[in-house]
Amino acid sequence: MFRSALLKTARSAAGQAIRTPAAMARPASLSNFVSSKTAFAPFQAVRCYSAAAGLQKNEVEGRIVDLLKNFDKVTDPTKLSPTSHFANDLGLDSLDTVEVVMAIEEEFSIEIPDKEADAIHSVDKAVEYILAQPDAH
Amino acid sequence: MSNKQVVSSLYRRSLKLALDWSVHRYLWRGQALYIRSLFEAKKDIKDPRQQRALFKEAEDLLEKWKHPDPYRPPTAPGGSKFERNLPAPILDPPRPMIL
Repeated sequence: MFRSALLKTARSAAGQAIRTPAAMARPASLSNFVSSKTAFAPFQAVRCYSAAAGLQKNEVEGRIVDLLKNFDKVTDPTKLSPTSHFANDLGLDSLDTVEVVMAIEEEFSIEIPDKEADAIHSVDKAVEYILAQPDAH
Repeated sequence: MSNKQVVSSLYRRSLKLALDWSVHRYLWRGQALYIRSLFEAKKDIKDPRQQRALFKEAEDLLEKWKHPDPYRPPTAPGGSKFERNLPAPILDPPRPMIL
């Protein structure tokens, strides 16, 4: 897939390079190459760590719910929803909550200070917190 | 702070400390389970005096095993990406002042 995508960009870049006049080859072909590349980039296969964090709400929710789905102490996975409470709905105790918050930290590669970590008791609170962080990935 | 907060803070800090010391994730996993079992073992103690002694003991252990170079998330203060690529300062000259 990556190979075919690469070939496609190369082909389109080559086609445009041929069409540009040779006299001002450098700037024109350069800008053409860049523009063709950006036009081709609605789908990004690899997300670099340096990329700006553009997290959408549903993406964050999905990732947190997936994380909880794989957590073996969740008693009733059918109750998993974007609004479920860790203790009341999922049957996790306070130490499990600490583990979940640590897993969330790791998933989004941020550090949640103790005080804020204490306040995260439900999925929507976690989503809200993650969305408020500019450096969450 | 309530007892619950104190205990979860202790648990959190001990997990992080174990993570600092362990080279691989799978090594940390066993340590985490062990730490969890230690906390579970003292779950039913209700006497405040004993509880205080346990908190003290845990704090002392955390202090004793403090890591000299703990893991920092890249974007946290002290991390490798902290304050990288900040927006450029305003370099435009000030507007001419007409008196």
